[in-house]
Amino acid sequence: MSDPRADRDAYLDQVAGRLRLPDEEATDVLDELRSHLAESAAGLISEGLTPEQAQRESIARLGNPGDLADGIRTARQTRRRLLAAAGAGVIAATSGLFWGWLFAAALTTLAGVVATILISLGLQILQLSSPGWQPATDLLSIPFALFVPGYAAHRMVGAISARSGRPVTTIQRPLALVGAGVLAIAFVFLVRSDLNPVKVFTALLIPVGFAGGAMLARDGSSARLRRLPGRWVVAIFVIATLAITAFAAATLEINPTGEYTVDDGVARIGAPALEVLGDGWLEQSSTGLGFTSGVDLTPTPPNLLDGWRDLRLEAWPVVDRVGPIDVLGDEPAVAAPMARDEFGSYAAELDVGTAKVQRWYVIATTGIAPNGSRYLLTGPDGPVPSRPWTGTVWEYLTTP
Amino acid sequence: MGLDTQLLKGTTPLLVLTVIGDGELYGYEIAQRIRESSGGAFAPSEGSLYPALHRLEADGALTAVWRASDRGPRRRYYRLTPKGHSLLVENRDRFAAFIAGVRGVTAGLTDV
Repeated sequence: MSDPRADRDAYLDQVAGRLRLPDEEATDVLDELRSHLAESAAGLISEGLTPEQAQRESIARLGNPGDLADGIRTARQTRRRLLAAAGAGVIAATSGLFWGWLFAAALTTLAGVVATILISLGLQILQLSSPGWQPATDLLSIPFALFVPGYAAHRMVGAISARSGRPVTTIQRPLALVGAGVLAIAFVFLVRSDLNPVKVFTALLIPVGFAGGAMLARDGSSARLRRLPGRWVVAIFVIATLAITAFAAATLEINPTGEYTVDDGVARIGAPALEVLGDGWLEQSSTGLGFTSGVDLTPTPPNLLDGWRDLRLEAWPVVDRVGPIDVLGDEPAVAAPMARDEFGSYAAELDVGTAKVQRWYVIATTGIAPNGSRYLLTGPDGPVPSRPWTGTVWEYLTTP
Repeated sequence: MGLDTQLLKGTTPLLVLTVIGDGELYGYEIAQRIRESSGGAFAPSEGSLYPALHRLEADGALTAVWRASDRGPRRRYYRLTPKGHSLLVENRDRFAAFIAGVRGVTAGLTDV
């Protein structure tokens, strides 16, 4: 024999499972139905039915719990409610941006702590002299690109579902498609910024993060974020740790070998000119070692460089911005002739240009001595970076 | 005589507004009143009664308040708003016109 109360509760649970109304409204509806079932059962008992039969009959009269829940929910879906749902979605998305940022910040901070500990223990996770780690700081934006739009979309779906009474499954796919589409158009075709491969990858992750956050939402009466897949959190944590390790190591300018030699680079740039210059010297002033470099040489005595020719300001590509200077190739990437002004100084400026992947250069001045050999006059200084590539992601991807 | 479900569904709001009238009734009571006053001819599915009540409330035709019951859980009592009264008159006229039309047609058929 079944328990009438258990039957009633089971029925109401099924209604509750399909109702998808805000908690307070759902409670009212369920209370009303509970009251109805109690009244109906009492009436049937007074007509001679047993409590079990009466409860069963009263439940049967209310009909299929899913249909009843759908009917009530649909009845309450007014235009005002849909507008409220849209508003709630915007508010939830805004709070999601904050919580997503906070989560990503917490993740990267934790990764930073781990990275700092590793560095303080002398553990070099990344080989700093290898090319390619420079955009380490940009790697730190990956968790933000995923979690900020992801949280916003997730909370938006939950809020719209709860407010409108529509199941999450009917909201998440269109929202994921539209939201990701809008973000993709914005971040691929419209937003112009300094780009490199990591930044391009990060920009492409933003719509992915939004779509992922929307699709991870599950049915429920509230907009709580469900558990994120652990492997993703771990993967992003590891990436962040590696990035921060590289960033911290670069900031601290740790030289793992304890050496800082210019010999190799200098040999390729030109032999040191000290013995050629004799008792004289060169005073160099630099007009900034940014993307555009300028150098002003003042020889002492003024006739020190008489007989010299083809004085140049040169930019030599180097492997990396810290560690041993190792110039690449046997020729400078860019060179500018140094012109002598009326005061006897030699000056030149050069621009190392734009690169899709940031490159680094050392700056040196060289000249051909009366004996016909090219000598290094000053430098190498720097390193200086190439100018960042600016444009949209689409332009970046389609430009050779 | 059982009535067509669709026909009954269409008339449920009118029946609900009519039995509530100037009073204040709760869901189960409304269903009972409809059943009794129609002599059992109209027995709206209780499953369709609540969606109808909530739709009328959402449309502003009904207002609801909770009141304690001495016989069990609290009850939700419904009352017509001014808009509900207007809707009742409007639906009643429309239904009367509909009945008159149907009657005219069916009377003609009987003559044939």
